[in-house]
Amino acid sequence: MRYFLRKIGFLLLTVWVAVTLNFVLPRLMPGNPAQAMMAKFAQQGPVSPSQEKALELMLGLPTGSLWSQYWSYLGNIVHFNFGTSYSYFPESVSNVILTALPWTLILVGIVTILQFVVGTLCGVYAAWNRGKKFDSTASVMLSFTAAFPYFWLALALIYFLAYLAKWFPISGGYSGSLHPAFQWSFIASAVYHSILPAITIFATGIGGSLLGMRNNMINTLGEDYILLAKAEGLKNRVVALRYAARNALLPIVTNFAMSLGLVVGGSLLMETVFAYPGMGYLLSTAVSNQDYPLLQALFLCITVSVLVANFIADLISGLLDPRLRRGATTS
Amino acid sequence: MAKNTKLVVSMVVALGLAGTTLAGCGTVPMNNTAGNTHASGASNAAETGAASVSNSSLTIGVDNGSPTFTDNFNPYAPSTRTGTNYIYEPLFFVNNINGKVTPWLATAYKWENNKKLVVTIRNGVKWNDGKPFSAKDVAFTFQYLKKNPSLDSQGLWQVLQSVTASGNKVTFTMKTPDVPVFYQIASTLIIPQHVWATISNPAKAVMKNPVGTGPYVVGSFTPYQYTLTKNPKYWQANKVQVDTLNFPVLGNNQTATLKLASGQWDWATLFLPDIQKTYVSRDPSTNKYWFPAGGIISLALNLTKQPFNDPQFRKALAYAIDKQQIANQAEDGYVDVASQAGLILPGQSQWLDASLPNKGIYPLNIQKAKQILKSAGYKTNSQGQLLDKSGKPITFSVEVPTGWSDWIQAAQIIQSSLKKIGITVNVSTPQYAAYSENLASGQFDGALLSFGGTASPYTSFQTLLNSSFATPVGQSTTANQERFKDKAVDQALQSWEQSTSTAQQKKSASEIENTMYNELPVIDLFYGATWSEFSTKNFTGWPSAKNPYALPSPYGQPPLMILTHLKRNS
Amino acid sequence: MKLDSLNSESFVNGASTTTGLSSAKAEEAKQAGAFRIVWSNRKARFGIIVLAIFVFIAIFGPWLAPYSISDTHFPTSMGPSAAHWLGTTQTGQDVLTQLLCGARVSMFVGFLSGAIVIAIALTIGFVAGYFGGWVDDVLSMLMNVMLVLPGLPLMILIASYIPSHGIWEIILVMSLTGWAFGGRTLRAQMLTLSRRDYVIAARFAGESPLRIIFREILPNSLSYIIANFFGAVTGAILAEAGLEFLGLGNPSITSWGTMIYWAQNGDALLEGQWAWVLAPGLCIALVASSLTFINFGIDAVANPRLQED
Repeated sequence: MRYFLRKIGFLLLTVWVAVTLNFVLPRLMPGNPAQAMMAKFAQQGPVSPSQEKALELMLGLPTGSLWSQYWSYLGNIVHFNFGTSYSYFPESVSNVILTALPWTLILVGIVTILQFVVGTLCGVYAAWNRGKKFDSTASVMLSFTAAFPYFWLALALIYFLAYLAKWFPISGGYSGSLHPAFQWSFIASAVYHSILPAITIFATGIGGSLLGMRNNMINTLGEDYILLAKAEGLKNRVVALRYAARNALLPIVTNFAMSLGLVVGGSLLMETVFAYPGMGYLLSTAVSNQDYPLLQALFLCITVSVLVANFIADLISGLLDPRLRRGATTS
Repeated sequence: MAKNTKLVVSMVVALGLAGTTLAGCGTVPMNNTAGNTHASGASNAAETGAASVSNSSLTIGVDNGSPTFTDNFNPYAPSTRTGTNYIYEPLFFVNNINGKVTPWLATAYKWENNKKLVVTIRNGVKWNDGKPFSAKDVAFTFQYLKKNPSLDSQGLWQVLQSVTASGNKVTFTMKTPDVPVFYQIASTLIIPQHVWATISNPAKAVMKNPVGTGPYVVGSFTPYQYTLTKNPKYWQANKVQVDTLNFPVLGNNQTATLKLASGQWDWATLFLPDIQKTYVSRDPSTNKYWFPAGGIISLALNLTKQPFNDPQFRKALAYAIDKQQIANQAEDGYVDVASQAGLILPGQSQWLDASLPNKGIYPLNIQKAKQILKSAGYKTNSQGQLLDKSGKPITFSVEVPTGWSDWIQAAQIIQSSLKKIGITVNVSTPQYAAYSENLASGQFDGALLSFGGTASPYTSFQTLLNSSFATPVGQSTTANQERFKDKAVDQALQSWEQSTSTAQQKKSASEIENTMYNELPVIDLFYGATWSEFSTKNFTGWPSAKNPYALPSPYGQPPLMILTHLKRNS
Repeated sequence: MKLDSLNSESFVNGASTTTGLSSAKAEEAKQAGAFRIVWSNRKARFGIIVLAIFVFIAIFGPWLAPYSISDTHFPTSMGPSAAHWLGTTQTGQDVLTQLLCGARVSMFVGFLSGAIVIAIALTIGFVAGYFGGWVDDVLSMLMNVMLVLPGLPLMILIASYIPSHGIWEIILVMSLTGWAFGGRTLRAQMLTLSRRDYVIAARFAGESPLRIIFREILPNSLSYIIANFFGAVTGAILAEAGLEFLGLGNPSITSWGTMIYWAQNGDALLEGQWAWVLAPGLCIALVASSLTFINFGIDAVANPRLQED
C-alpha cells in the first residue's frame, strides 16, 4: 500500500510542477500575442500603428501581477476552464482542442498501437529465428527507416505519391466539400487522407518496437525456464508466445504506456508537413501565434496524459512484479 | 496592400450547420452545381473539391485558418474569415496602387472646409437580409467604433469629433484639420444598425450568416472549406458573373504551392519561385500572374546609436548595398529596386519630385561608398575593417523575422555587400513577436522594415517619419521605430495634413522626399510584391499592369472591385 | 527503450537498443575484447564504416567539395547535371558542395549535444541512483517532469525565446531538454550496480563515493553509457534537423537541416529538384542509423546473449 500512496503523491507533485512550468514558459517568450498576431497581417503588407493597439484591447491580454494571474490560472484549470484562444478568437480553448483531439487520437493512436503490435510480433519472430533471413533483413531495414527524419519522409511521400503520382491527396484531414459526420463518404475521405501520414508514423516507429522486443526476447530465451520448457518438449509456438514473449514484454509495457500518453500531443512535424488537423499542428501554430491560453492547455493535456499513462503503467508493473513494490524507489 | 482591411470587417447568425466539431451534420455537397467533372482525374476528386466543378465558380487559396477554419464572419474578430471582405463594403473603393477613389456605398464626397467632410450615400442599396441600407447605418458604424475603441483599428476617433446622418448625407467633423483621414473613412466597412445595435460585445460575437451589402453571402461551411454564393439582391448584381467562391484551407506553404501548381486553385496569393516554370508553363494560355508593388522594404537603422545617427554613414550604405542582387535573388527578380524617395513607383509617380536624380534610386557604387566614409572621417584598420569614431570595428546585427525566407536572403546579401566596405553584419532571426518588440522598444541595431503601400503617401510618411512617434529607447512605439527626428519634416507633414489643395500637398511631398533622399531615415531596398496568381480559364478581366484598377489580391478590399470586373468566358 | 520514441520527435530518439536486463554479464566483459566483439557484429561493422565515412566528410568536406561554399554564381534552381551532381539552389549554390560542407555542422552539433546530454544524464542519474533517499526523490521528480513535458514543442518554445539562433544556442536548447530519458535509464543502471557485492564492500571499506563511482561503477557500465550516448546523438541529429526545418536554426549556416529548410522555401519539390531535398535527409538517416547499427555491437558487449554466433 505504501508503494501506491507514494506513487500517487509523486503523481500529484509532478502534475503541480508541470502545471506551473506551463504557466511560466509561455510568459518567458518575448513580445505579446498581439504582436505575434500582427505577423499574419504584416506579411501581406505594412500594418498601421493603431491596428496593434486595437488588437491588444480586444484580446484583453492578462493584467495584474504574475502572482494573481497564477492563482486565477490554477483556479481555472480545476474547473477545466482554459479561457479564450487568441488565434481562434473568440472561440474557447476547450472547443478548439476538442476539434483537433479526435483526429490525433484516431490517427496517431491507431498507428501507434498497430505499430507496437506488428513491431512486437515481428520482434518475437525475429528473436526466435535469430540470425535467419527475416531477422537480419528486418532489423537492418527497420533500423534504417527509424532514422528517417519525420518531416523528410513526409515531404518525400507527398512529392512522389501525392503530387507526381496523384494517388493521394497532398494535405489535410478530409475533403473540404464534406461535413464531418458519421457517414460513409466522410469516413472514406478521412481514411484516404490519413494514409500518407499513417505511413510516415508507422515507418519511422516500427523499428523501435521490433528491436526492443527482439533484444528482450533474446535475453528471455536464454533463461533457464525457457530452456526447461523446450526440453520438456512443449511446442515452439507455445514456448515462444506463452513463456518467452510474455516475460520479454514486461519491461516494454512502461515505454508503451508512455508513448500512448504522448499520442495526445500528436506528431508535430508530421502533422505540420501534411497540414493535418490534429493536436501537433495545432501546437505548432499555437507556438508561432503565441496563443498562450491554447498553448498552456495543449501542454497540460499532453503532460497529464503522459503522467496518467505512466502512473497506470507503474501500477500495472507494480502488480505484476512484486519485487518493484519492495524496492519502492525503483520506477 | 491589405492594410487595415483584414481587421476591420463584418458578421451574422447561424446557418445551423455546425462548424467546428465533429458531431452532427449530414454530408452536404459543396455547392449546388451539377457536374462533378474533374480536371485531375477521379483519384483525387475528393481532395481537389471544386477547382473546376463548374465554370461559374472560383476556388481561392487565401484563407489559412489556424490551422482550420472557425465559422465566424465577424468583421471585428481578429480570426475572421477572409471571405468577410466579400460580404461587407466600404463607402469608397480606394486603389492603393495610385490612390484613385471609386464611389461604392457612397456616391460623392466634399470637403466643406479642412475639418468637415460631407459624404453622399447611394440610394437603393439593400442589406442581404432585404432591409434597406441608409445613411443612418453609416453614422451608426462610426458611432459603434467610438463606443468600442478596441474595434477602431485605424484610430479614427483620435481625429473625429462627430459623425451625423441627415437624409442621404453623412457629415464627419474633425477635431483638428486632417484631410488624409478621408482614406481611412472611405475604407471603413459599413455594418447594419438593425443587426449590431443589440450586440454588446462585438469582438466576441460569432457571425455565421453575416448581413452585409456586398456581392456574396455565406453558402456552406466546414472547418476545411467554405463557399460564398452570389447575393441576388446586390446593388450591382448585373456586374457579378462568378456564382460561387470556394475557400479551401490554405495549409502550410509547402503543400499550398503544390496545390496551386497542380491546378487546384483559380486564384491564390503565394510566392512561387521561377513562376514561368512552376506555374505559367503548366497551362500557358490561362495561368497568369501579376506581382505589383504593395510596400517598400527598407533597412532601418537605430538612429539613436553611433554610427547609424550619421547621415553620411547611411548614405554610404545605400551606395554599397547591392539592391539589384536582392531583387534578383531574394525575390526571384519579381520586384524592382526601390526609390529612396519613399514612393512606390510607378503607381505614385504623380507625387515624385522630378528634380531627384535617377528617380531617387541610389545606384550600386562601392567606390563612392568608400569615398563618402573616408571624407566623413571613418578609417579602416589593417584587416580592412571599418572603424567607428572611437576606433572600434563596426559590426551590427540586422533583424529579420524567422521564417520570412526572402527577407532572410535579403539580409544575407546586405551582409555580403557590406563586407566589401569592411562592415561585419550578423543576420539575426527572432520570432516575429520578438522582432516587433525589439523595433517597438528601439532595442536593435538594424532591421528590415516594410512601410508604404497606402493610398496617400502622406500616411506612410507620417508613420515613418513623424517625430511625435519617436519615443526614447525602452519606451514602446508603433511607428517611426528607427526614431527619426526632423522639425522641417514634421512641419511639412502638418501642412499636408491640413491642406485640401493638391498643389500644396505636392509641395509638402517633395520636401519630405528630399529629406528621404538626402538624410536616409531608412535605406530603401526593394518594393515588396503583392503575390497573385490567377487563371483565366473561366474568367477574364483580372487587373494587370496595363489596367491596374486594383491590387490583384484575394484579401482586403480589392476582391470587391475585381469580382465586379471579371467576365465569364463564353 | 526505443518505444519512447515511437514519436521520434521526443528527443532521445533512443536508437539505443540496450536492454540492460542482464548487465551482470556486462561487468564480466573484458574491455580489451570489447572492440573485437563490436567489430565481429556485421551490423556494427557496417555502422562503423558508414560513420567513419561521414566523419571523414565532416573533417575534409570543404576540400572534397567540387566548388567553394561561398560560390553563388551558378545558374539557379537547376536539376542534377554533370557539373552539379545534385543540382543548384535557388540562390545559385552547388547542392553537393553544401552537402559535403554541411556535414561538419550537423555532425558537430549532434555529437556535442549528445555528449552534453549524456554528461548531464550521467551526473543526475548516478547521483540519484547512488545516494537514493531524498536526493533520489527530488532528482527523480525533476526527471519525470522533464520526461512528461513534450520534447519538441518545448524545444521550439525555448528556441523562439532565444534571440539569436547560432549553433551554440541550438546545442544548449537540445541539451537542456534532452537529458531526462538518459538520466532515468542511467539511474536504473546505477541502482542495479550500487547493490552489487563489490560496491557494497567498497562502501563498507569507507571508500569515497567519487572513488567508488569512478573506479568501480563507471568502468563496468561503460558500454552501457556509450550505447546511451549514441542514442542521444541520434536523437540530437534528428532534433537538430527538425528545429532547422522549422526555421528555428540559423539559416545562414549550412547544415543538412538548413539545407532542407531552404530547399523547402525554394520550393525545390515544385521545381522537380528532388535531389536537393532527398540528399540531406538521406545523409541524416545514414548517420543516425549507422549509430543504431554500432549499438547492435555495443549491446553485444553489454549483453553476451546478443552477440552474433
